[in-house]
Amino acid sequence: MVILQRKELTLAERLYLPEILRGLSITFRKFFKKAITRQYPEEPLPKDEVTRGQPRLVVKDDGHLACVSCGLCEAACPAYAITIDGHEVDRPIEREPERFEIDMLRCILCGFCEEACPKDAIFMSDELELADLTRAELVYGIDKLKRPRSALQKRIDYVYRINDRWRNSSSTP
Amino acid sequence: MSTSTTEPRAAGADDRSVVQIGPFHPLLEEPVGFELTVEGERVVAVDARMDYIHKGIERLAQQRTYDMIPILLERICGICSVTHSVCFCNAVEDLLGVEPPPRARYIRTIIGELERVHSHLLWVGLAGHFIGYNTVFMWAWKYREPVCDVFEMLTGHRQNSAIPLVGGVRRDLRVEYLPEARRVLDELDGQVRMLTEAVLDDPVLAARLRGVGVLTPQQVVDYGVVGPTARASGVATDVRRDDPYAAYGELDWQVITAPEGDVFAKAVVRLLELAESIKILRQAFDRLPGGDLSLGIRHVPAGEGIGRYEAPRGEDVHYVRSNGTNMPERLKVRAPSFTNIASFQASCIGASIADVTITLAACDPCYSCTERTIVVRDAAGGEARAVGDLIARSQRETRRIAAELGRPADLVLPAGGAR
Ligand code: SF4
Ligand code: SF4
Repeated sequence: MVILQRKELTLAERLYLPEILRGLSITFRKFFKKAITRQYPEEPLPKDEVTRGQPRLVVKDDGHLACVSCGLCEAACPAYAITIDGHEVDRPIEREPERFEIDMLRCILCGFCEEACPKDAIFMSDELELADLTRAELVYGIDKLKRPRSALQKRIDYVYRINDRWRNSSSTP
Repeated sequence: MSTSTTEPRAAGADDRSVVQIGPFHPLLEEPVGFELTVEGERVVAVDARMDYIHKGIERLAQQRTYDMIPILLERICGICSVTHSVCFCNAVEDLLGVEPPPRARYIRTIIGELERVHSHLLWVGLAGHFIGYNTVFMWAWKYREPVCDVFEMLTGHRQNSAIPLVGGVRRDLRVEYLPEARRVLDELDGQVRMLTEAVLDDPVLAARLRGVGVLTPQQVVDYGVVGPTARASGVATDVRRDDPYAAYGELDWQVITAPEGDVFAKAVVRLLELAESIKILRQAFDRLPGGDLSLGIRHVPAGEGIGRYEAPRGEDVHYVRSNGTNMPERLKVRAPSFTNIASFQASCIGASIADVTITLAACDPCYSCTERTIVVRDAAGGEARAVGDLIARSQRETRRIAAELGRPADLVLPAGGAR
């Protein structure tokens, strides 16, 4: 056990009221300071293209998915979260996914799929919120994953810049 | 749970009772069970049970490729994410006999130190919370928040950087944000100094924490305690200095120690380490060299390697054995809390219940890292099982199983045997 010697209080401190007022003045001054808490979700979190949110599929300007269902992202995914079934199509691209599912409950937002994709078809968006009533709802299919290219453009530019991959702005039209 | 009286009430062996802390308890961030055998207020034995959140990560890692594993290992611990993935990379690089390029080493240093800063702030806050001093909790966590934001600015995620890779790093830091990171550090420097002075001067904290949960240097050596817990007992052990990895060998910083060994000293060591980490970060930002990010390792030959890493909680050790395929044959993780938790046998026996709760928290135990089935038992008539006893038991069991299988009793598994 430690025995501490208390300091002698001065007269002003012993009078009690001045000290109370001093304490309260700190409290009152805080009323006019900027609050440091964020009022989430009303006030959204700051995020930008560096934020690794959930992966999303790119829809090209012609309305088709950029994905050719090559399965590289499926193989790269450390969480085994991606399932792809592909089929052949007549367009020059020859293949597209019939089923492209990401189990968002398994996805660990690592960004391997983005890195693996040779067609720039999958990118990490800045979407972070993930909630639903059943587990089945959280296995996202193509309808929930696809985003127009413009929505992901900032991230796409960032990935190009950081990886310096093909040295021009983008490989898929 | 009974409230505090600092002087344990004397009582005889016949009025022993058992106090459960956990598996779910406000004191614990994670599920773990402590069973205190008490005589009156005095604790005479501590049992720990920690198999509530076993995730089987070592087994999972043996089914992943070398590129995937660092990402998986980030999930061992919610706080030391960089720790485990870089430690694994150190182990594989030891196997390969290579060293990552300078820029990669500096990036690893930066993310590792940012992690140490937010982890130590987290502990200071929690320690305040455990002794019912929530002002400290609020302040420390307020300061921690910008550090997590910096982590996200530089890597894309508040906790899991997804950056370490065998032979280097996967991505560059977001260098545009380095000035902003530096500004946050400058602010944090003053705040940490203020917090350190406030804690050192606080008569309440001193009265509550001095002389509580003392570990002597001899006990530190006996139990193999690591990290700030050992340094607070005056044992200057730090992997960053003793076996430098990343860029620590090139930077100027000090190992912080304190002689007392009590909970107060542990708090002081962590707070002073914050200042050292900020110093390391500043130097690393200044000197961040250019060049390659990774060696581009394509193949890991058969062999074995050991990686060491100074986690915020102490020395982390990973063992990797490769058989030449793209997945390791064996990965073994020895998290720092594993040895630190065993030291409760030394620091908690004889203390009062109220002191034991803060002593349990003082080594910053992380149960999900340590997760495995261990028994530390010393109750009436029971067997004493510290780490040494566990090892002895493990050897005994191995010999028994070997005898059953009719194999020689060494520790080598038969080829193609159970992995
Ligand atoms: S982000 Fe990672 S875990 Fe998620 S789908 Fe892509 S590769 Fe899989
Ligand atoms: S790697 Fe790209 S193109 Fe291949 S399946 Fe995945 S998203 Fe589609």
